[in-house]
Amino acid sequence: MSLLQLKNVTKKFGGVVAMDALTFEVEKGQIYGVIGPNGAGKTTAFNCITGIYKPEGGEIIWKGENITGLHPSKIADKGIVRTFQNIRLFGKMSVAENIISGRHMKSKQKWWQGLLATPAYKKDEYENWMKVSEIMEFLDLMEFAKTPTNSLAYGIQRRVEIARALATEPELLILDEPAAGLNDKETLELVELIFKIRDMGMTVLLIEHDMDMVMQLVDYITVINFGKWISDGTPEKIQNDPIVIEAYLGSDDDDDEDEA
Amino acid sequence: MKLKKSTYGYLLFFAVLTLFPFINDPKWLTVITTFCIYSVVALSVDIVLGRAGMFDMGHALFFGLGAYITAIMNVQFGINVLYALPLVVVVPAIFAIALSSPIVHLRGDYLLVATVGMNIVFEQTLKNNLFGLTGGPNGIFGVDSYVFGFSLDEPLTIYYIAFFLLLGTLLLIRNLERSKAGRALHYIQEDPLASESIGISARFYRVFSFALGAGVAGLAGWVFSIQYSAVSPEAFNFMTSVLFFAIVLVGGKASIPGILAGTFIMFVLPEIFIEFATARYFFFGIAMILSMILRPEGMFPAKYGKLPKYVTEDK
Repeated sequence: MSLLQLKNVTKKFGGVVAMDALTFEVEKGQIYGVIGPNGAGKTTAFNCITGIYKPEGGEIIWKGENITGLHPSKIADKGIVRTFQNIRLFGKMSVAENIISGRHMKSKQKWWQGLLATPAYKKDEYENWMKVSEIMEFLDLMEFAKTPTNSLAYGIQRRVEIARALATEPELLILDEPAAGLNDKETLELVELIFKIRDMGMTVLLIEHDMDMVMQLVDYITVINFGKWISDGTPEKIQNDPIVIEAYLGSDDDDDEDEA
Repeated sequence: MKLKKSTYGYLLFFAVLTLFPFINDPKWLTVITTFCIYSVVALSVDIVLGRAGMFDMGHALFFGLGAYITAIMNVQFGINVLYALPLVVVVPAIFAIALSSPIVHLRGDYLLVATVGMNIVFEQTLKNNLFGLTGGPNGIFGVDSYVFGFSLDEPLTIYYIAFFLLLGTLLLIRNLERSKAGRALHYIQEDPLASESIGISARFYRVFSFALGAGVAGLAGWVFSIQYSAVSPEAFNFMTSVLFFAIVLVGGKASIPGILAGTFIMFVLPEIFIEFATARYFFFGIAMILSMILRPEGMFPAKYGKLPKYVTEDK
């Protein structure tokens, strides 16, 4: 049984069909890529999976359970956690405070234990902060522990957002264009990091524009255009797929015609 | 042991409050007693407004609920004020859950109008003498706070009760700040979508902040009704809510020193300049405008990045 299945998922905005009967399956332990030209509906697909949008049709199946239309926090609770294309950190707060937000679901303390500072609360607090400390070591963020995230460089903010997602110990990590805005060195480090995350036992689903990166990183790809599935396969297959090449180059042809 | 600057500040503040009764001036003892109570209410508004980031301009409702529960039980039913204690926390909290649940999804300005509406309904209900219990426009007089042979409304007794209430509330807020629930409030304020996507339910914590804020405000209402031995609708109307709202914004959202300073400026200073009569409000209006322009984050903005020592140690 696959970990995540999309069956004919359809999302409309008014009369516009942003996603038309999209179907794909992610297996456990994979690094899975979704690619497509700008405006193809990739982020829409991710927003449907994570519950930000409710699809009009189709089903999203997580480990055999239908999770279509569940509230985002419920979906996170199932083990599906995402990052955002336009980084969404808690900007005023420090790196460590951002990362411990990811421990919210795993942290066992009750609200009244926190208010009364009971021993159970203190133990829980210690364990979770130590986990944060561990994650900061792992992602080389220790020196920024107390720095507000909105004063950090873009590449570091990306790392903090991934750290926050990792803190939730997700089963499926969804990355929305993780390499956007990163330089070559940072992109290389990101590829290394994603491999490490997979080796830790997590499954990774990502959208990416950087083709070189996708081809060296992912195990399997689904290509969409105008909200529709157009092809899928291994990176080798996709690279030589005439339909995919046309989708990417075809749009340029259209532009040329318009100009002519 | 080296103490932080803020620790000295608190020690000084508590020392002044502990020794304050020695000035032996009944008028100022009353003012500072009310200062303690108002600080507690302001801190409770701050849970909703400053921490969870919701424009709550109807909080006097919960403060009034606590006060009226005490007065009704005591005056209408002859029950000792001590027995009102659990109810003044629980009933406002339940009201807060019921009233806030349908509106917490509203955006800031819409929520504000809804809470103002609730406060007005509450005031009108009191004025119309609901079930013959609330005493109408004049309120309820003669709260008898005779407990174990002590009269709680003796100026010195009620002063220390208010002082201990403030101490307890400060401790509670400090604990909240350092706990999972307190942090969750900040997350949902800064970015509800990002919070949801890591499993923090914005809805739950919004309602939670209302309930906690209402419980604390209700307790303050208990002390308030004993201090004045009476309750009246005017003390809990919309203008009172506006005062607390302004205290939080002028002092600094989610900042304990800010809220204390805000209460001092908005409540105690007008008492000091009482000889200028209504002219003082003219200056206060201008001071509020200036403080928002010059220090939009408040006088003492909240500080972030306070981590337990063990997090960054020995690495």
